[in-house]
Amino acid sequence: MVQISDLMIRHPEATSFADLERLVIEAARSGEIHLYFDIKPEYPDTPRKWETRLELAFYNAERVEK
Amino acid sequence: MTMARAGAASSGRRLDGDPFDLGDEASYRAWREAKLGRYPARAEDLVVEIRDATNLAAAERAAIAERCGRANAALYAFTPTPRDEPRLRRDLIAFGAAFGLTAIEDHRSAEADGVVRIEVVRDGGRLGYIPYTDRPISWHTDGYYNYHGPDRCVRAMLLHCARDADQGGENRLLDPEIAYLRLRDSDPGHIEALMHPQAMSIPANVEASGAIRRENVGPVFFVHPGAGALGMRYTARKRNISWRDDERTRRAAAALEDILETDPLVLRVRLRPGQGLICNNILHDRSGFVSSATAGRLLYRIRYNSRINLDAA
Repeated sequence: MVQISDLMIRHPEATSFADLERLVIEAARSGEIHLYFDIKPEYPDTPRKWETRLELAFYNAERVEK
Repeated sequence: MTMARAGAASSGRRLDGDPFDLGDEASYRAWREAKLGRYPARAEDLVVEIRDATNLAAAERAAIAERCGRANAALYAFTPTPRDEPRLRRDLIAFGAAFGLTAIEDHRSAEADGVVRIEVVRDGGRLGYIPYTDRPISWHTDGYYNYHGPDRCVRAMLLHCARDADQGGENRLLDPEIAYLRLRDSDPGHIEALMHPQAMSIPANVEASGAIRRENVGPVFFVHPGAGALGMRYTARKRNISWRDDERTRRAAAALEDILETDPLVLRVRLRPGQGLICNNILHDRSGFVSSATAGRLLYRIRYNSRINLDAA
């Protein structure tokens, strides 16, 4: 299981929601089975439906072009 | 909060009404459902990595607050951990202060900064007290012998591991809100008995310095009148404690003891160097341990007279 906060804390270089989305995809590809939304990612570009965006990124990681 | 699905951050704040009022069953039911729904199943779920305790990132603050909202506690891991003691002590004080914890208890074993070294001692003022031995410590909340009302008691604490034992030294943890909930589900009379202002007494004690600590009498569960937060004052020890002399109190104390030994929500953790616990004075114990004579188990402890401020995060 990976938590949103784990990704953000381990990757301080990620400064946007788009960066976080990429980290979520990488986590899924590395074998993580569960993504836990423990905190809201507060970036300037965080969309209103951020959970849906990250959920889709996580589930569809294998379909996204590498 | 949620796993790969939408959900709002747990705030840990009270719902409308008073869930700790035995006459407000609707509020209690709503609070109970929310509490059990988000309570962590494993100690690992409470862990947050901290890069710089003196300059927390927003995600670190939010993650600590989220764990405290769910379980009144968070486990943290400093990565890297400061190597020299003065720096570590400053970091610990700054870390607590980032969550509004600035009212540090003036403890007889504390040094000037309010930090206490928990280690095996062979002499000095700490000698004779069980925390400073390698023996197990039974379930308790910190400062149960020093309660002077909901405003004047230990309401939060921080425990940081600098060196672990060779063997043992594990902690079991339980949020007092879970203990309350189990007791109330079993028999609301247990709560009435344990909220009685004379439920548990700790006799007067003559300390090694010759100072006398007065008898300490108070409830087991209490609610802070301003914040509405539940607090707890408890020890499972059998000696130097007296329970209110009535059948209901004895039954409630026995039920609580049973919960602490059997509840599936009791979490188990063995703190490693650099790891620690920050909490609203939750129930915990410690197993006995074995350490080498040269570099034994060393933890630092800070107690606070206020609760963790989730809004500070």
